[in-house]
Amino acid sequence: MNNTTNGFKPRARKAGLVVRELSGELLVYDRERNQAHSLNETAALIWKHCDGHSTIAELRSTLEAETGASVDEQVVRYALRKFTKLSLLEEPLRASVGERRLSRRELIQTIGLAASVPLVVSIFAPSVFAAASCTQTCTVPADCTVPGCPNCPVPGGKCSA
Amino acid sequence: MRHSFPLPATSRSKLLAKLLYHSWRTSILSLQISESELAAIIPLLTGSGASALASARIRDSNLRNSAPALDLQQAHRLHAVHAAAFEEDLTNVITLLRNAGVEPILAKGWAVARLYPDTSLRPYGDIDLYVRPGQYSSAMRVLASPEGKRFVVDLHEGFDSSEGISIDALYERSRLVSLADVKVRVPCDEDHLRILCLHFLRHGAWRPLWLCDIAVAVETRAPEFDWDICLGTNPRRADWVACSIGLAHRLLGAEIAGTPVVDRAQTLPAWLISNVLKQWETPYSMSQPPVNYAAPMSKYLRDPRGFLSDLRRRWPNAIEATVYTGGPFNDLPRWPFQIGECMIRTGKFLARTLRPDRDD
Repeated sequence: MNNTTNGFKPRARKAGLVVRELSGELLVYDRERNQAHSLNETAALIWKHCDGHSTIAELRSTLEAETGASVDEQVVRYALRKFTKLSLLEEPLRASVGERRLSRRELIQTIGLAASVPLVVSIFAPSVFAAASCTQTCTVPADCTVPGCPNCPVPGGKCSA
Repeated sequence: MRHSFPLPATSRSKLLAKLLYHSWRTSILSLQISESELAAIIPLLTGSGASALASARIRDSNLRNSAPALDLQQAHRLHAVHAAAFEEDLTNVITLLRNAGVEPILAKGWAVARLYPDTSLRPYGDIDLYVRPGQYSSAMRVLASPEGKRFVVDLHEGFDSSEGISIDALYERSRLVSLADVKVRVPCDEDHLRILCLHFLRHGAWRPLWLCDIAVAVETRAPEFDWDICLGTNPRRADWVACSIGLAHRLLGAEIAGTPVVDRAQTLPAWLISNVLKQWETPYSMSQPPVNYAAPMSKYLRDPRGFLSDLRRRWPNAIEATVYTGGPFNDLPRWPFQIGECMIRTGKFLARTLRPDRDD
C-alpha cells in the first residue's frame, strides 16, 4: 500500500497495547516497548477512528462532525506522524516527496487554536513508584520483572517484588 | 460531618498523613498545605506508591498546577497504565491456572485496589495468589511454563497460620468478583480486612498505602459485615486488628462509628502511633529489612568487619517485633519484644548454619 497518498487508511495498533482513560486523557501503554503515552482529546479522537477503513480526508470529516469545528487536514496528518513515530499504527505513514511537515508551532499558527492540536506526550516516572512487597532478591537484571520497582538491588534493573 | 487533621504537622511523616487524610474518598475536604511542604514530601509519596492518592487529594486545591503536583500527576498516569496492564495479566493468569484445574484466591493488590474509586489510585507490583497445598505444585508448573513466566505472581502454598485463618475457611467464605470477563476469587470482606491489618503490622507498618487500604476496606464494608469473623477468636490477634483499624482512624480519618473498635481507637498505646510515624519518615522498600542489610549474617562469620554497624540496621522496629513475638499492644516498653525477636532470629540463623545437610 502507498502510505503517502490520500488513499492511506490508517489502522490503530491494538496488539501489545493497553489503553485506559484518565481525567479526559487517553493513556496508552505499549507493553512491548515499555513506553506509556498520554493522548489529548483531539489525538484520542483521531486514534480511536483509525479503523483501517477511513482515509485521512474521512478522518478529518469525522473529527469535524465530532468536535463541531472546522478541522484542517494537517491536523490529522500531524497526529498520524506522531502515532507513526511512537509505533501506535499498524502501518506507518510515510512522507510524500516534497511534502512539508508542519511543526506543532506552525500547526498552531495555521489553525489558530492550540487546544485543537493533537498532543501525544510520553510519560516518564518522576521517581520510584511501584508498591509491591519484596519476595525475592534479584542478582542479575534478568531476574527482575517489575518495571520501576523500588526494591530492586540491581541498578537499572527491575525486581520481581 | 467535616473532619480536620488532628495532628500538628511538624514532621514530614505527619505532613504525609495530613495529605493522605481521607484521600481515598471521592468527596475530599479542603487541604491546608503549602507548596514547599508538598515538595518536601514528594519523595515519600512517590517512593511509597502514594502519589496517585496524593494527586487526587490536591486536584481541587490551589496546588494542582504547582511543580510538585505535576510530578504526582505524572506518577498517577503511570499507575493508571500499569493498573490496566496488571488487570490484563491478572485475568490471563487466572484463566491459565483454572485451565490447569487450579482455583487461586487473590488477596491484596487488585483485590484491594478495586475498593478505591479508581484502581489507578492504588498501585501494586505483583499478584498475590493463594492456592490449596494440594494444588501448589500444579500451580508452580503452570507459572514456570513459557506462558506462565510472563506474569509476576507471588504464589502462596496454603495460608499462613499466623493469620488465624485456615485455607479451607478462606475458600469457604471467599467470593467471586468480576474483572473484565473473568471472575476473580477474593477473600470475603471480613477475612480480607483481617489480612490487610496483620500484613500491615507484620511488616512494621512502614508503607502508608497499607493503612489507606485498611481505611478503604473499613469504609466500603457491606452492611452485613461480620466483625466476629474479622476479629477472630484469638483475643491477641483481635486486638492487633482493632489497633490497625484504630490507626487508620487516628492517622487517616477512617470512619469507624458503629464498629466494635471505636473504644480501642481512643486508647492506642503512644508508642504505636509514634512508631508508625517514624516508619513513614522513610517509607521505601530499600530502607526496610532485609533489603537494607549491608550483608548476610553468614558473611560476618567469615569476616566480622562491619558487623556492629549492620547490627543496628537489624534492630527490629517495635511493631514488627511485638507481632513477631506474639506480644500485646499495651503501654509497656517494647525493648523486651525487640530483644525477643533478635533472639528468635539468631536461634533460627544458628539452626540453619549448623545444620549438617547445609548445601554451602
